[in-house]
Amino acid sequence: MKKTFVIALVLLLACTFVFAQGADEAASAAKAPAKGDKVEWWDHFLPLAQLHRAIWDQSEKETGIPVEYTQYDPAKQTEALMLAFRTKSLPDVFSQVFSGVGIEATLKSEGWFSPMAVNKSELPRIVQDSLFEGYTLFDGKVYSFPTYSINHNAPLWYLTKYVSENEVPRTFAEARALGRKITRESNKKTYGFVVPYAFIGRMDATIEDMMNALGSDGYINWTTGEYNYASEEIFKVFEFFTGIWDDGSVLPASVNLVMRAARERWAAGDGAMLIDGSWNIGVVKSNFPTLYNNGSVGVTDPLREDDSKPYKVYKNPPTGVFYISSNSDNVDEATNALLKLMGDDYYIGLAEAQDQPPLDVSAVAKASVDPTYVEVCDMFGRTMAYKPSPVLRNVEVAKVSAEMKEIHPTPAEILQGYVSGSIKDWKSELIKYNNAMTKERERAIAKCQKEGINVSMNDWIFTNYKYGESYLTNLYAGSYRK
Amino acid sequence: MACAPATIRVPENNEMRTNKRTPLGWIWLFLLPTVILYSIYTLYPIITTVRYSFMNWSGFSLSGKFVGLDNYRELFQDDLFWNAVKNTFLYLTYAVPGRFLLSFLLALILTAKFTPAKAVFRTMIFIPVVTTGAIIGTIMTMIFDPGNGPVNLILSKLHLIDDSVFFLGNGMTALATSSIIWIWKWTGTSLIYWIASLQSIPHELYEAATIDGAGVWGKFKAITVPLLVPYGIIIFVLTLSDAMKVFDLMLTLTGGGPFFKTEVIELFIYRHAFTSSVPRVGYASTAATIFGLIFVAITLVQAIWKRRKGGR
Repeated sequence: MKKTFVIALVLLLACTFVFAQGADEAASAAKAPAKGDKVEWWDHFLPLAQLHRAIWDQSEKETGIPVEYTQYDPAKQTEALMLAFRTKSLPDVFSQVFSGVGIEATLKSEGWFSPMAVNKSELPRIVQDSLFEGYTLFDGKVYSFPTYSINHNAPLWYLTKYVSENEVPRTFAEARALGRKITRESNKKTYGFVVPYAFIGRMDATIEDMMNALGSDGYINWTTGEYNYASEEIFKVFEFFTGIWDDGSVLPASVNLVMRAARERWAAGDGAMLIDGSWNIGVVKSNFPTLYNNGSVGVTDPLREDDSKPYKVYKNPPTGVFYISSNSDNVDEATNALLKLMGDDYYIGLAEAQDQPPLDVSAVAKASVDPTYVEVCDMFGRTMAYKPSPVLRNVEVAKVSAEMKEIHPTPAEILQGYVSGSIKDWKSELIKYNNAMTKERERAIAKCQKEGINVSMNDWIFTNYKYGESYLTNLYAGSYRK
Repeated sequence: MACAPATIRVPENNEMRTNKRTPLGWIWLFLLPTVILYSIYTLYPIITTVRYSFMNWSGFSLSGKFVGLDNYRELFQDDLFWNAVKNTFLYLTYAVPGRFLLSFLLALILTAKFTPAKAVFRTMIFIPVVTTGAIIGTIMTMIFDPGNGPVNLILSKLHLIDDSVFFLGNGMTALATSSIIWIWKWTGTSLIYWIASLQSIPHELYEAATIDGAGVWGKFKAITVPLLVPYGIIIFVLTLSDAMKVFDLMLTLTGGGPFFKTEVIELFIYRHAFTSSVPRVGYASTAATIFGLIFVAITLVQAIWKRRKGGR
């Protein structure tokens, strides 16, 4: 009896693995698109769906191949893409939703992408100038291209019902005073601010943008390569965010709000001011048309300590937005659809969606958009610059980033910890974080060097970087510390 | 005349196979679909998770690199893992007894003769059970909103609080509040079990106790409780098992915040597997394996304790 039981169990387990393996293959086979059947397209750009539909219909007329579109929430799309990659069922085209330094290089090395069926020289000039090896070009082949120009998350949006023109704040002190006034006069029916403290990734980016606006390089000091998580500038940004909380000027529910919910509460009048990107007005138009049509929204520069000094907010050169997957059998058709995202009509359409500014910013002037969108795009044009990118100078740096473990709590988590009552001394936490990040980077560099990867601490040092100037491609040569 | 004692012949093992009245083969045949499906959808994922736990795998590559016990070493030093374990056990401590006792109390009330409109109340209590957890999470964030939420308004009107309290946004109250919401959602299920258990107790026992002069409390103590113990054990185990499936509700209620105060082990695993800037499927699998082993250890200790207690 025992022998029979054991034999039966072994046979059962064998059947199980065979079925499971077969189920995997069946799933992959079922999902793999047939050549010429259709182009599967996944992205997270809900506001652009209508604009893209017109382009896909045009592409279908030319190639006879329809585009099948699936819209995802960004968090869900990361999950879906990872699962699809493992079962070799990635869609033909997908938007790049993964964050992390040098992530494009990592994905490329793991075999996620197919190159587009087009040469760099065949592309419009404005697109060619925006392509960078290690982001959108790999071994000289075009894998993707940006559709947006650089932008940041720190413009201050306000409801004109509560903030008159002569009250628009420019400094931390002015904003705090205004926030207290609005909260007090409305008897807490409308607070001064809504802040998405729970939207950690965005808040981390916003904190860095505001550090830039104060004259800092951001999270990394490009002259020394050291982290700035314990710098004066980040302390000042924290003093602002914790200050408005302590003043009682922030909608209490902000502790648990992500960006969409925060925007909804702000648009409903629960808070007068909101820090958000250029797309805020695009979402207001689609989701809160009454607010939009009444012209009830205004925007101004990021808050600073002293608004008389010029500032620059830094971003990496733009990366690719859409990539063709490695398992696509419709590369030509996908390329044909993607090439339509490069013309004047598309840039004007992008501008009219009022999301991130189009790659060709001159399209904004030709588009029918809200004055606040013109204002914020103009703001970006005047006050933004490219920051040095260690990955663009040495693509091996991406391996250090991939090796580095996440350190928690991050600055945004520390901020949420403070407003939720879990942290009292945020300054100590920032200093701890700075030290932990330094140690972790050193460990990751040492491990990569041990594996023969050519990286060092010098990769984070740019001797010819200067705050206030854009770090252009020609500056990379000769920028290493000797 | 003395009778010779009956001789009982014990069949040998081999005879079981050839005994045509033994339905062993048929038992296995009918069990086979369940066993196969269980193996594919439960056993295989468990074995695969354990395999992944020995790998450094971001999820960006097709397979990971074997790293031995590195993930385990790192996990044991990860404060946020132990925070998730602590949160999970705290949450179980609030949620399981809470649902168990509340549903029992409600079952007693809803099976009592004096309770009117029993069916209506049962239906109302059961409605949250059939509502999607994610939707309840979204609605409850509004109900517990510190500004305009009804909970704060009622507590304020009753002068129980001076200033509004953000129950889901305060590190001290978020986990307990989430537990209360979970209890409210799932009490209906346990209620049905308890009602069925109470209805299985023969009425004659209560009638006999009444004739013997027993009061309400006496009948409850001497008849209801002892006869419900076997059912109670099963309901407790089912409640504990249900309580582990809190992922969707917790994700929409708090997302694991504020500041990791409601990050239970499922959210910890989800964060590492999918939402980190560099996902770590191998590390997430390690957390799942360790937590599974913790529960197996607890179950073993319980089983050994029960056996020893039964042996005395």
